[in-house]
Amino acid sequence: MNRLIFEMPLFLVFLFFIPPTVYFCHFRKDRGGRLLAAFSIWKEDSFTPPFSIKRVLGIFSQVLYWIGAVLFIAALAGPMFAAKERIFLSRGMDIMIVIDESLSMAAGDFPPENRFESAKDVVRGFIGRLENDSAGLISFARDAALRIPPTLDYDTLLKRIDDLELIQLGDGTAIGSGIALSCLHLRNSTAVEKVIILLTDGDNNAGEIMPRSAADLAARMGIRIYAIGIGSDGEVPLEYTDPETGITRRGTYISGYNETLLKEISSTTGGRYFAAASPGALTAIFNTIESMEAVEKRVKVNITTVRLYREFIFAGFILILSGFFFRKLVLGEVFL
Amino acid sequence: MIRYPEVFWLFLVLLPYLIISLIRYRTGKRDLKALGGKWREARLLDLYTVKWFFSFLFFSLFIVFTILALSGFQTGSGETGEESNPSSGDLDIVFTVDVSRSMLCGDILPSRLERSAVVIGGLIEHLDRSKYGITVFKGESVRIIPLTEDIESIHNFLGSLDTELLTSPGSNIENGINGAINSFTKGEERRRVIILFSDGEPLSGNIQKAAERAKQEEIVIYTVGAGTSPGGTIPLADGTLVTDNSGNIVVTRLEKASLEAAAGITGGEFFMLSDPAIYNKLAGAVERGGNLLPWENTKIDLYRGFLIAAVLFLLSYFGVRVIKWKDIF
Repeated sequence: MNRLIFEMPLFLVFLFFIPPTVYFCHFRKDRGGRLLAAFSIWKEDSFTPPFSIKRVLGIFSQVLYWIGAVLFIAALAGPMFAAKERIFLSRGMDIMIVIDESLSMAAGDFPPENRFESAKDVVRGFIGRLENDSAGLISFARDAALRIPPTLDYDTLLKRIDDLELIQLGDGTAIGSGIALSCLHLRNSTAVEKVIILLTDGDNNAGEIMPRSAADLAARMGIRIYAIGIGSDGEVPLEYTDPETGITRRGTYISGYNETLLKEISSTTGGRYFAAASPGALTAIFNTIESMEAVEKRVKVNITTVRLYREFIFAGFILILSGFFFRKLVLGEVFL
Repeated sequence: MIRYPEVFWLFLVLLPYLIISLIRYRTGKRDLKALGGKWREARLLDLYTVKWFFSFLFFSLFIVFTILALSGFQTGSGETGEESNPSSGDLDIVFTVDVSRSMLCGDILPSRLERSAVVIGGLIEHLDRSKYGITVFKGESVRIIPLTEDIESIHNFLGSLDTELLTSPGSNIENGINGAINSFTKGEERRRVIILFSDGEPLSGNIQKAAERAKQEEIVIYTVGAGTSPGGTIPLADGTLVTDNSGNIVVTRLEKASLEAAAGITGGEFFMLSDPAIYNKLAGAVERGGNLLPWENTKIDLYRGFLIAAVLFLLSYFGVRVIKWKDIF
């Protein structure tokens, strides 16, 4: 998107005069600046001075002059560095991602590691594709906590997702608290479209707010909930190592989320319910949500330019001056 | 007016140039005698003097005009450019709060830090259509809340604003401002504002440099001086006061100068946290917008004329050398 442009490219025409001028100065037979001395009448070919370091340096110093001259002419043309920036004129939507971090999310039926890590990966991919839509993150287990408010600062958002860990908020599944907290933090949003994406693998068993009343609240605020039930049916192996105590808990877990509840939550708010039995299915669900929630974007392109003529003149000036001092001081030039 | 007066220091180049030219003139005459032979000595030396004079003149003029081209010479007031900072419109505001221990000082009640939190909390309720972010800094800057419309999250955080948030020692306002600049997001046309709360006692860093960067990115910085000039002691949680290495009790004072400078550079304003009306003054100033126009949108530098002259003098300098005079050299 970034490139070099010239404000008045017509000045570059002067560059065509450089080769003839170089010829005139350095290759013309009858050029000045040399002292001719004939010792006798000579009828053979003219001399070519023997190859020497001094001669190479002499040519090098002339090259410095001419590169300097080229840079000066380029500076006349008004070089500018142009960077394009896409400016969104329309307000994107606000998305609150509400993720379950209870112990059951450590179940190993979602390769490569577990449900939780797979969900984080999919969310990361989803955020990587967002532009101009603010996204926030809430996690819940026995309690719910805001990890990051809805923001366009995706870098910080991704960092906070990396920081997410299982059962930091105790063990339990407070779906109602998660939704209610999302509503609180979407309250001041000016976005037209407000969406909660809820990822859970259990039934509501904690928190002081019933999921259905929280969903009603969301519906009244015009927030749609996409509820995703995670996990395959039947017994799944579960392994979790507490990062602080180092104690590993192993066992089998009979998974089961409350499908009826999730369906109800999503339908009262005008959203949709999805069942994700595998990481692949989860990715597909996020793709579906993305296409369902595509808000029309009005974009304009701003071109910001930075003038570079001073850099060109500086570079040329330094080359020409060093050429001059080099010839006078190192090579001991006599002529002018 | 001259935009980059500092380039006039380059005129000092003329001094070594003059010295070298004079020395080469003398040694050149000697060398020429040796090379050219006695029979044409007088003619050679006359011509040499003439050629030396013109080449010296042209190269000097080349140097002079190049420096003038670099100086960013402008005519007119320089303030006629189109206004790029609309005074109305949506705002992105990043609060950047110094959380070094001196902010615990009670010269502003209940403490510099708590009072700052109160002002921030009031301000975010006041301004409509704004996004807010919070960064805090000691030696390093940390983004606590990215730019968001969710003022609940700001209120939540203000309750836990504390000097124990960061463990890095020191107080580096340059890092604080840079961290705030970095937390603005792209892709929207909004007015961008930094409100800096600090007692201005920078232990390291160059505030001016950070302010220049903000100015370049058209970000206005408002600074709030947290503290008083008599200052006060720094109480710790256990009731003792902060002491220095030799056991003397540390007194911290407000250092206004650097904060005023940072605001001035970017077209913002400086306020005192101890001012009872600070809340209205700050909100009013932020709503009005900055009062400095960015350079890039004002008049274009008139460098071309100087540059053309410089190129012509350079060519003349070459010409003196390569055009043979009087069939001699």
